[in-house]
Amino acid sequence: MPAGTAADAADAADAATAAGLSGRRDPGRMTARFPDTAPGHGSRDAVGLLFAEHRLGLLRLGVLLLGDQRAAEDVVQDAFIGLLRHWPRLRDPERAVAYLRASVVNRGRSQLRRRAVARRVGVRYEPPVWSAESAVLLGEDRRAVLAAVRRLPPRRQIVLVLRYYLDLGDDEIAETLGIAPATVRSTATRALRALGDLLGEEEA
Amino acid sequence: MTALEDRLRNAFAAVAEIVTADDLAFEPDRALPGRRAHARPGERAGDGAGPKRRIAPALVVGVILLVVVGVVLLPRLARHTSVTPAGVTVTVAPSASPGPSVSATGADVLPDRYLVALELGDTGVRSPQLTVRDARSRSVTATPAPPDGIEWKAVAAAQPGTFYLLGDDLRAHPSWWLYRLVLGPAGRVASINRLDAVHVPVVPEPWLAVSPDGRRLALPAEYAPASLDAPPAMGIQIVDVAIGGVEREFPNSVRGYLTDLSWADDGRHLAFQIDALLHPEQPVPANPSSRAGLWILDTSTHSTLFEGSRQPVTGQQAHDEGYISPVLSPDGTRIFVISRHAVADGGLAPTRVVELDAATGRQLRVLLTHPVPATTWMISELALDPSGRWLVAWGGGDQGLTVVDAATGHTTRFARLSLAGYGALVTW
Repeated sequence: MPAGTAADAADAADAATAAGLSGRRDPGRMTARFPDTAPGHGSRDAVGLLFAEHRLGLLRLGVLLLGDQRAAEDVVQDAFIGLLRHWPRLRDPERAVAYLRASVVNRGRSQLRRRAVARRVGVRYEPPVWSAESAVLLGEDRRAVLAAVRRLPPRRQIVLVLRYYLDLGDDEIAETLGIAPATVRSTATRALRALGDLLGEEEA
Repeated sequence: MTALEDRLRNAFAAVAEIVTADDLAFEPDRALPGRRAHARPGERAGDGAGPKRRIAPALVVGVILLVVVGVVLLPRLARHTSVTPAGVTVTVAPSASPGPSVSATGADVLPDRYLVALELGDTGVRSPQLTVRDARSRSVTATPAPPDGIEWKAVAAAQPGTFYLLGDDLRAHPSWWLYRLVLGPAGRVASINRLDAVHVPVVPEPWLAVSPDGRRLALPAEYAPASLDAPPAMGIQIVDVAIGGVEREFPNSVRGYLTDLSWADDGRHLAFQIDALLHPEQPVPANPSSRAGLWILDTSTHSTLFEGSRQPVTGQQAHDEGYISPVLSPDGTRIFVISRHAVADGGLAPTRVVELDAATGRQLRVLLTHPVPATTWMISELALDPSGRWLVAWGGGDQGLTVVDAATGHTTRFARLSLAGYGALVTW
């Protein structure tokens, strides 16, 4: 994949952001160049490269969304398989990481939705990684914060994770979720207000 | 940056760091093609399938319970007294009408129809799968695959051989589409078309019901999102399938999850359920919502949701007890529903398919009792064929489909579905 000026600029911007004031935790570059985008071996190489570079970061994102490492591994795995399948038709391979991130968020949200129906058949899930039994080392305050986040509606949870874990800007969150930047802002504001109330109540 | 934002960043970072590079078995060539290839050394592939891991011991317990129940407890249970969440005592006894009898084959009596099951699969193990089965031969005649990038979310039957599907576009956020599946000769797929004109509102859980004439679609709509301490406020939209527009709308501001839509044959009355059983991970009211229960909406009215509805069954609990999956009989006089009520001594409770009087909510018959009393729903989905005679029930306990002849109480074991995990939706 030839490197274009725009891609260079995006890389530079992302690298600057990654190393900059925001302390962004996005796992590596937002764009990537690949030796070959043709279907077959080349796409496997390209996706393999992304897998090596971004799997850990995406897995962490999945754990934050689902609270369950196994489920997060499945979601991330599915996202890469989806990318591999769609690679030949990917309009802009430079945006593959953004695609993967959106895919993890979307599949995670889908799984959260589906859990509701699953309850009817008695499916039970592992306790969240931040539950008392699995994260003693996290500390009470962090667990309280995470438990409160967990009580928010899914969209608010996701916006908070994208903003305060990945340090994405409102435009990037909007692109990831397919909503307007203004909606991101209002969702985040409501989420913070609700969270504050909730923690205040719980701390009282 | 506020202190709260600091605490959030700190907590998120701490959780993320629980997952380290050591957790990753980085073998992209092995991991990418296979869905369970990331199993760690020492794990069997599929070991991490979540629900599956818990199904094996459950089955062992189930078999033991089956023996105990059959030999010792069943005769006692036959006259066991249950207490409904509303505190109304109901004597659960076998139907006074012809009692259920189980047939191993039943091929001679089953209707000449196709049964469609949407098995919801298990993320990372199996994607949702749609299967079409011939009710008489029980053979799978088709497994209609969704279009690229689409995942099936819900299914509803219309006229014979025509089904409607909700498809979730995984590449858009969030975006649901309506598809029409038409079966051809021998139950093969004749066509699957996306109905672009129909706007499908995205709600916490996907449900849909098609009117018996196939002309109108009932969809839940969200009028206020879930808040910290309450479920969303949901209403119903009636959509004209041909033109895609909302023909009538029943808005609502009272909170509660709206699910399980089901039309009467008159194309006018529509049953639905309000509960908080769904999304138990979301906050639910400490007390049952006053609106919780089974409702029947007169769609010929111009009103809000509850003004246009009557409530034959009230007082449903928010959590693991009560009724689920109500289905309205074609004549609108009865409701078939899955029932599970805590027994008085707090022990394991049987799951049943019962028939209720749609006017009063009074229980008329017990049509099916799952043999294993349990702490969860052993039967979880129910569908009625358009003739109003054949009920099909699906149970997560053994993943089996059972067909109940509502006229005689005759019960036929039909088939087992293949996917474990998140459950299944059935229709015919």
